[in-house]
Amino acid sequence: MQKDSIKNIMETIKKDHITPKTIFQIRWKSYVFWFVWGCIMILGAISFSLMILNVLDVRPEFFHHLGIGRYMRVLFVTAPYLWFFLALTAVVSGFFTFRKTRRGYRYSMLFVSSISVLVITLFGAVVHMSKVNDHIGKGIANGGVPRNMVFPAEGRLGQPDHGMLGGRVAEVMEDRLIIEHPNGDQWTIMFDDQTQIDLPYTISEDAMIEVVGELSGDNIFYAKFIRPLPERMPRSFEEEKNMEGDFHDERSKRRDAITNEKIMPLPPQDSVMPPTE
Amino acid sequence: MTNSNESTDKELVESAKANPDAFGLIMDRYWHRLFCYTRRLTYFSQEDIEDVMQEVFIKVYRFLNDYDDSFAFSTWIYQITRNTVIDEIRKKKARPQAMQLDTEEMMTVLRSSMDVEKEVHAKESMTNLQKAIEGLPFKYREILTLRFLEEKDYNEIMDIMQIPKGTVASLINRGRKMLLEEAHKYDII
Repeated sequence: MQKDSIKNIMETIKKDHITPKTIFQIRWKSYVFWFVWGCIMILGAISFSLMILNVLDVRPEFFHHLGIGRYMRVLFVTAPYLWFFLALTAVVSGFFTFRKTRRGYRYSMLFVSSISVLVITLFGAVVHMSKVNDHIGKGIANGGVPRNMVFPAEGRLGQPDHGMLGGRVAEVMEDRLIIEHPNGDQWTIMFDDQTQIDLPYTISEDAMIEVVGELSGDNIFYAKFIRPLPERMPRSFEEEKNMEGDFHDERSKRRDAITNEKIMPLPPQDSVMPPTE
Repeated sequence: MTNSNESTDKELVESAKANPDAFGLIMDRYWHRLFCYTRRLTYFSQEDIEDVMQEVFIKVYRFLNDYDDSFAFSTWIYQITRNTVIDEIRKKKARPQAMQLDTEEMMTVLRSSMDVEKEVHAKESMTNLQKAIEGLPFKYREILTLRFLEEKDYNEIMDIMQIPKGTVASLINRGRKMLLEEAHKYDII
C-alpha cells in the first residue's frame, strides 16, 4: 500500500508539473517581517533619541537647589512621555515581529526583548550624537504637533511654582534681572551673593538663562542658581533666530577657545628648546 | 553513484531538486514514520491519513528549497506534517477526539509520568488509560507524543512545534502532571 501511495504521489508531481518553488517565493514573507522589524527599530531609536534630548538637560545641580520633592515633580511634569511610550511600543511590536520571522520562536522572550532594547538604545545614541534627533524634533513640531509634546523638557522654563523659570534676559540691573518668558510674561529675577551663577559669560541683554529658585511675589522670583539654557532650548521665542544665533555663536567661540587651550600639547620634559637668535 | 539506502537526507534533497524520481526515496524513507505520527495525533481514518500524507509530501517537494540543512531534515518534515495535520483538523472543524494509540504506546506515555511499580495496575485499566490520555488537551497530547513516542529531543520539538524551548519544557512538565491527574481521576493509579 505504501508503495502504491508513493507511486501515486510521484505521478501527481509529474502530471501536474509540480516543481520546487524558488527561495524568494518561499521566503518573501520572512523578508517582509525583517524589513518591518528594521523599520520599527529605526522608529524606536528615533523616539529614544528624542527622549535623550529631553532628559539630558537635567543637571544634578537642580537636585541640590530644588530638593527631592520639587525635583521629582518637575521631572514628572516635563518627562518625555510621548517618546517614552513610542520607544516602548517599538520594543513590544519589535518583539512580536521578531517572533514572526522564520526562526523567531527559537529565542526566548528575554533575549528578543533585550536585542530590541539594545538595538534601539545603540542606534538611538548614534542618532542623538549625530544631532539628527534635533532636526527631526523640529520637523515634527513644525508639522503641527504641539511643541510641548515634542520637547516637553522646555516646560521646565515655566515652572515657577516648582522652582524653575527661564527665558530671555530683557534688562540687567545691579541686584535683579528682568527676563521674558516664552509665553510673553515678564519676570523679575532677584539675586544676591548667595546666588550661584554658572555662566561662561557676563549676563547681558538677550542672553538665554534658566533659573532655579523660589517664587517670592507676583512675577517675582528669587534666584538660587542661574545657568545658560541648554543649546537647543528654547526655540519657541518669537525672536528665536536672532537671539539663538548671537547667543550660541558667542558661546561656541568661548567653548572653542577653552577646548583649544585644553588640548594644546605640552612639550616633552626632556625636549631641548631651539636656540633663540 | 551513492547507494540510495546509504545517502544522507541532505544528499537526497539535493538530488530531488534536480530529479523528481529521487524524491521517491525520501518518501520511502519517511512514509511509515510520518504515517504513525499522524495516526497518533489524530482520529483520522486510514484513507484520511493517506490523503494527509499525499498533501505533506507534495508540500515538502514544493518547498524543498526552503530546507535549511542547519537542522535535521526529519525535524523539517515533521514540522510540515504537523502543520498539515493541524490544517486538516481545522478543515474538518472538529477536535481530534480519539487518539489511535495501541496499548504499548499508551503505556509508554503513561510511564513517562509515573512510578514503575504502579504500572502493573495501570495495565489492567487500558480503557480508562485511553480515556485519561484522550482527556488531555491537544497540545499536551501532541507534545507527549513527540517526546515519548517519537522520541524527539527538546530542540527538535521546539523546531517542529515552532515554540521556544522554555515553552516546550513547561508544556511537557504540565502535560505529565495533567496525565497523572487524569490517571487518578480514572482510578488507574
